[in-house]
Amino acid sequence: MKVKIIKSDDRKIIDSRIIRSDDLILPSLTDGWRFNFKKHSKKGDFETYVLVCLETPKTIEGCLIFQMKEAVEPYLAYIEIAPHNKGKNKKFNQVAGCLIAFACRLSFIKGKEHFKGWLSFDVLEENKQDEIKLMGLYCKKYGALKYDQTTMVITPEAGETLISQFFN
Amino acid sequence: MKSNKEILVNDIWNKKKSEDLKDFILSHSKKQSDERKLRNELLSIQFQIEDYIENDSYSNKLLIFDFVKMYLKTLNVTQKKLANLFEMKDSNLHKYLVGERKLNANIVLKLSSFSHTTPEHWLRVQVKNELIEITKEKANAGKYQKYDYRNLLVTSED
Repeated sequence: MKVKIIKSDDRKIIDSRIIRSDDLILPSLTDGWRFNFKKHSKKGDFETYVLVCLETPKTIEGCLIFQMKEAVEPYLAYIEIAPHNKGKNKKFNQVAGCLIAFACRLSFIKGKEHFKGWLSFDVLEENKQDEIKLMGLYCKKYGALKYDQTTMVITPEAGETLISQFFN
Repeated sequence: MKSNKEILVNDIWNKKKSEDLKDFILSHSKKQSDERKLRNELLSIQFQIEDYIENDSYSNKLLIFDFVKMYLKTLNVTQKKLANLFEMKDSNLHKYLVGERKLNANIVLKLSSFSHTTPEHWLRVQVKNELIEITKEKANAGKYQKYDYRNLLVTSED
C-alpha cells in the first residue's frame, strides 16, 4: 500500500509503501530493535509487514506483525519503528501512525462479524512509567482505549479516522 | 549494537484475559448503531477493492461481479433488485458485471453511487483486469509480429 512519510530535517514528503516482508531480511534485537521480528514472523498465524521508502526499498523504516486471534479477532502483536526513526534525531515522522492505520485497515478487511474494524494491542515496556506514558500517547494520538494494564483497543470509528488521516 | 531484553506478548496473555477482552469488544460492538455496523462492512469491501487495484500480482483475477456480490451479500439484496435500481435489465447488468461488456460512464457512476465509492474504483478494477488479459496474451506475442508497421511499409513499396 502506498503511504507518505515525512523527512524530519526538511519536512519533505517521501513516497513509501507498506508491503509484506517476504523478500526482506527482518530486524532483530542485535540490530538495535526491541522485538525479534526475524523470529516472530515465522509463526504460522502471523502476518508481517514493513514500511519502506520507494528510494530505499531495502531499508526497513518500521515493522508490524498482525494476527487474527482464533481466525476472527484482529490483534496487532508487534509494532516498532526503526531505531533511526526514534528520538530527537529521527530520520522520518509518521512511520508509527502509518503502521497503526494500516493495522486498523487490516482489521476492517480481516476481522469477522462483531470484530470487524476492532483492533487490540498491548503496550509493553521494561519500565512501568514508560508504559503508562506510551499508553497515554496512543490514547491521545490514535484514539486508542485503555482496556487493562497493558492492553488497548482501537474502535472502528477511531480506526476509520486514522485511515483517513494517514492514507488520504 | 546493544541487545535489549525482549518482552513477549505471550507472557501477559492467558485464557481468561483473552475471553475478557473478547467480551469487552463484543459488548461494545453490539452497542454500535446498525448504520455503523454497515459502515464497517462497506469499508471492508472498499479496502479490498483498493488492495486489488494496487496489488502488483496478476495471479488472482477478480471480476467487478465479485465485488458487487460482496455488496449484495452485505446489504442482503439480489442482483435483480440492483438491476431495478439501476433501471436496466438484470441480464444486461450481468454482462457488465462479468466483463462481457465494458463499463461505460453511466454504469460506473451508478456503481459508484450504489457503493459510496468513487467512479475510479470501478474503472480501475476493469483496467486491472484488462492488464491481466494483456499479460496472459503476451505469451502469444509471436502471433502479433505481423502487425509491425514495417510490414506495412514493405507492402506499400511492393
